[in-house]
Amino acid sequence: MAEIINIEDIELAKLCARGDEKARHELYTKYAAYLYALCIRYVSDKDLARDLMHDAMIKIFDTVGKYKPTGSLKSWCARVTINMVIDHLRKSKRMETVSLEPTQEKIPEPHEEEVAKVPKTELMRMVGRLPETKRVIFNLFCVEGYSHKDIAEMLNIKEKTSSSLLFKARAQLAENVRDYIRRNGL
Amino acid sequence: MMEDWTDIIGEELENIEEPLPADDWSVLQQKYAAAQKRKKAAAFAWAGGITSVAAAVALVLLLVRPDSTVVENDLVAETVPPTEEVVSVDSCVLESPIDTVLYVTTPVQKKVSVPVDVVKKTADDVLVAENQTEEVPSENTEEVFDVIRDTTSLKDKLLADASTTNKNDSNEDAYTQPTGTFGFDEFPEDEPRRKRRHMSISVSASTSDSPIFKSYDEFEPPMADENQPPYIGDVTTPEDSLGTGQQQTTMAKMKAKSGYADSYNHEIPVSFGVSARVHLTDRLSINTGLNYTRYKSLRTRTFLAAYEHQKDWQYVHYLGVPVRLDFIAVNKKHFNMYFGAGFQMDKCVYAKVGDERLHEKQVLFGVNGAMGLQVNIVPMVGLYFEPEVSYALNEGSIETFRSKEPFVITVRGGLRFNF
Repeated sequence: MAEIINIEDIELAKLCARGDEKARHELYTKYAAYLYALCIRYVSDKDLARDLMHDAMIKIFDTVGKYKPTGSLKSWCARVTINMVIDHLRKSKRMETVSLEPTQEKIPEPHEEEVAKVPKTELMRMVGRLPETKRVIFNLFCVEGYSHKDIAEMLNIKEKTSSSLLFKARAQLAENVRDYIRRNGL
Repeated sequence: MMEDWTDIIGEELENIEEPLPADDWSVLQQKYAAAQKRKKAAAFAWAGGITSVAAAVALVLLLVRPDSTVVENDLVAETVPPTEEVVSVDSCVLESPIDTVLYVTTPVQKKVSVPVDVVKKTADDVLVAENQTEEVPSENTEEVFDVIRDTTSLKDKLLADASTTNKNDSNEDAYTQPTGTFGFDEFPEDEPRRKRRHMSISVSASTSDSPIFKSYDEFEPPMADENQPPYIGDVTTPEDSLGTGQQQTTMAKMKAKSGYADSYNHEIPVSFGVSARVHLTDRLSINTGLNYTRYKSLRTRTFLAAYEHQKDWQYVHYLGVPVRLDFIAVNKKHFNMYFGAGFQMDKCVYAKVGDERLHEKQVLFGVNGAMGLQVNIVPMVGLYFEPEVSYALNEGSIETFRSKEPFVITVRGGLRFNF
C-alpha cells in the first residue's frame, strides 16, 4: 500500500488501467468524496448523486487508460463525472424546457465579503435549490469555468439561452445569499 | 463587478468534498463486478450473434450450390450456330442444319449432371427436343461444353478427350464415363465416390483465456500488509512472534472470531480430452467425449484482525462431457473446415486448497461455439486446430478461473483418427 499512497497521477492511472485493485481503491480514496460533492452540486438528491458517482467511477476505472497527463487526474475524473451527470439529466429529461422570458428587474447583488462569510455547506444548499437547468449552467460556468459556447454544446442549447439562464440563476442565488445574510445578521 | 461574488462561490464549491458512507467502496465493487458481467454477457451475445450469422451464411452458400443434383436455376442456355455438315463420332451424330441448345451447369467440385437438350427443327417448324443427362466430373465440364460449341472440330476433340480419359482412368479424380448422350462407350466406368468416414476419434489438448478482461486479484482489505514475507501454507507471522502454547491458541481464537477475506490469483486452465465424432450426414456430425480440466489458483487468506496472510495453492479438477453439433463447411481430401455449437457439462472430481479438501456438488454447464480447421496428413489421420468461444452458465461454489472469467476463448489442438 505504501508505494501507492505517494504515487503520481500518471502511475496511478497506469496501475488502474492494468486492473490493479489496490490502485483503484487508491483512486477511489483520493477522489470519490470530491466527485460525490460534485454530483450533489448538479443533482441535489444525495442518493442519485451517489449512484451517479458510482457510475462515473466505473467509467473511470474502465477508461482511465485513455487519461493523458496534460491535466490533473482529478480534473479528468471531474470531466468524466460531469459528462455522466449531464447524460443522465438529458436521458431522464430532467432538464426543464427553457423559456426566454424578459429579464427580471435587477436584484442588488451581494458583496464579495458578504459571500465569503456564508458557510460552504449553506452555499451548496443554495445552489442545490436552484432549478435543474439553471443549477447545471451555474455550476458549469461559475464553478467548472466552461464558456457559454461549451455549455451550449454540452446541453444542446443556444449560447444566448445559456447566458440568459445564468443571469436568472445569479439573480436567484443573489436573493438567497442576501436573504441568508439578512437573517443571520452577517 | 458581477463576476466577483460568483467567483467566490465557485472557489468555495470547486474543491468541496462530501463524506461517503463507510460501505461505499464495497457497494462500488459490487456494482463494478455487475457491470463487468453485463459487458461480458454483451460481448458473448455479440460473439454468438456473429458466429451464428457466419454459420448461417456458410450454410446457405453451401446449400444453394449443387452437389449431386442439377439445380434448375444454375442452368445457362447457349445456342450453337447451325452447321452445314453432318459430324459423326461413332454413335454421336449431329445432323444439320439444327439449332442446338445446350444447358450447362456451373462446374462443381464433384460430378455434375449435365442435361443436354438437342432440339431439332422439323420441316413444319415444330421443335423436337431430346432430353438427355450426363454425369461428368466438374474438372472436365467446361471442356466438354467447349467441344459441343465448336461443332466443326467436334470429332477430333471428342476423340482426344476419350484418349486422355482412358489414360487417366486409374486416377481417382479422372473423367468418368458419361453414358448416353454421345454414347462414349469406350470411356471408363464411373469410379466409386470418395469413401465417407463414418466416425472419428480425437485426442486434444487445450488452454483458455478471457478475451476481454484480465483475471485480477480481488481487492484485499487495506489492513493486509503486503510487506509481510509470504509464508506459503501457513500464517505469514513468523513463528517467534506468534509465541507458543497459550499465545498461539489465543491467536487461533482471534482468527476464528474475526473472520477473514480470501483473494485469488488464477492461472490459465489446461484441458485434455478424448472425443468421438459421429457423422450424421456428409455435412453434419455430433461430437462428444470426455474432457479433463485443471484449474490452479493461489489463494491468499487475510485474517482481518490478526493482520496476517495465508497463501495456499488451490487445485480443482473437473471432468466434462461436451456435446457439439458440427457443420462441415469445407470437406476436401486433405483439408476440412467446420463450425460447431454445443454445450458442456462439468463435474468436479477432486478439489484441494492447501491440505483442505473442497467439495463441489453442482454440475456446471456451459455453452460453446467453435470453428475448426483440420489437415489430413493421411486419409485416416488428421491434425486439427480448433478455436472455441465458451460461456459458463453457472459458477459453482469453488472460485476458479471459470467462475471469475465465464466468457473465455479456448484454443484446442489435437489428432483426429478417421474410420
